[in-house]
Amino acid sequence: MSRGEVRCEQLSVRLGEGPAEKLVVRDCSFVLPAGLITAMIGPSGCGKSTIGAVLAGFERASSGRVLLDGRELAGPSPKRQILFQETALMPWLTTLENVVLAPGARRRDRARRRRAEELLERVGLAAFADRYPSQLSGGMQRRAELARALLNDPALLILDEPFRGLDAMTRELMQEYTAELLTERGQTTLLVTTDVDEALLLADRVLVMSNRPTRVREVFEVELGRPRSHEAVLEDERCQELKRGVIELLTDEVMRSFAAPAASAAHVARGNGAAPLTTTRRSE
Amino acid sequence: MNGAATTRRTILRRGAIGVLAWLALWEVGAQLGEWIGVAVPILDKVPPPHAVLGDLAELVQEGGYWNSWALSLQRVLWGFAFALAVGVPVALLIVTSRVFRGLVFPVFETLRPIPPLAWVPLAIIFWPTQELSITFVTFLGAFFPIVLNIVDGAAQIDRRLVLISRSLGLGRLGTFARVLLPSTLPAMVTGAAIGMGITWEVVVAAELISGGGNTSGDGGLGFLVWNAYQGNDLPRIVVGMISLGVAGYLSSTLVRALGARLMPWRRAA
Repeated sequence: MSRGEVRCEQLSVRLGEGPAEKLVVRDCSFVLPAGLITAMIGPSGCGKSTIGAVLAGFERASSGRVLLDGRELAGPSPKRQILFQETALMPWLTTLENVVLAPGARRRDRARRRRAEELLERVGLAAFADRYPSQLSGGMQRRAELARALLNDPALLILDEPFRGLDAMTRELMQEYTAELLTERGQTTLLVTTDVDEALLLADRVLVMSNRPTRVREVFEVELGRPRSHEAVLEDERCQELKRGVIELLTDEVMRSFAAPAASAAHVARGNGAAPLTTTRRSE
Repeated sequence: MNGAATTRRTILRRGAIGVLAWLALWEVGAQLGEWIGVAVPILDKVPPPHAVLGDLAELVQEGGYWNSWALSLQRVLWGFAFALAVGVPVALLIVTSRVFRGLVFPVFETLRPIPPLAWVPLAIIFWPTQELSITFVTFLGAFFPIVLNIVDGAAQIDRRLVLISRSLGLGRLGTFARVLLPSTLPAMVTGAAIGMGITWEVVVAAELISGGGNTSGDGGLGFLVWNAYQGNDLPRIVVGMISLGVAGYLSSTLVRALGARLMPWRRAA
């Protein structure tokens, strides 16, 4: 069951209004192949999360279009589920109530109810069904949210730096756990991240994004079977080489983002349209 | 921090010690002039606790005292109930509808700074009975803090929860019931507790100003204080004041306790 192919064509996104308006994404095109995990990696603040928000239906494209299985997106939908950086469980609902929050799941539909319980079992939270989110650990909260998202059988799952708030140990466990769960389900996934190791652990493809306004700078394929462990990635020569390539590109992008404000400052100081400080870019 | 029973007992014990210590200080302060000839300023003029307690013991046997309680309580409860019944929907409309907010907020913000007591003369004129005018002023006392707290509370709503509920397909009504309402509940309870405190302040002042009731003491607790002042009965003034304090404390505590029942997730840790 492979569905959820996303085609993003010449996407541009402007955020804010009036003088505060900013072009965050410019002419960005990419494909998320069905059934695969695609990581989107780029300097922080470059606009990756905005792309995630567009795919989730929270933001609109200013120009260009996004197709999911051939159909253009229109607003939020249970077919496209998202996990944010920090937990977004409803604090006033128990774990099970959170998981079955979608209207379709709440109806007196025995089969769905059972599926919810199975999913909770699968993510190891069956014993915590009646607890409130504040009684769960960070990793458990993330798993409850995975269960809530997956119960909707989403065509596309968007993970927006989902492990960022976790401590190092829990993060590694959750990364491997998620890799397993998503592989088992053949879930089409977009993983937005700033962590190269995370991208290599989970993804089939890695999109390296440019600075703001962001677009795809380069695409890498990770040729290692999924699910992978952290050790497997470390021991794989190709993975490590790929990692160096990605880091080099990212460093380049980060350097540019440092150079950009300096360049515009210099521009103002000189009071003419002279070329910006290109020399700082390559120096190390 | 383990053992809820021990904690509760400790809290009660500390409270009791606090009250006793306060009474002792008061007794000593009030009596020092008589005992050693060195009077404590201000406190010297206050009747000592034993006189007040003596008066209280007499008062509790009079029907008029309890009538005063009942009357003030009734005014407070009606005013408070109306404030909740009107304030909560108004606040939720302000929060959910931009049009409503635009229409109502300027008027609301103009009326809000007017102290409830400034309404008393007008209220006496335009309500047919004195009872209604006092209840109306009491209503105003609770209405504004309730609305204001909910509106402020709604501004703190976690936007991501709203996004998630939309992406789960909850729709406007579902998002209202599942996200907005529970999000604002803590602010609602806080507003209600503050509002409840203010209703007691207001009811007493309204009773004082309107001077209702007859001299047998059934004009409410505020009138009881006023009446005692007119009769130059100092201990009775203090008894009235303390009764008001206790009434306000008890009702705010009750509001908070009911609020905590509505929010079981806040107790879970």
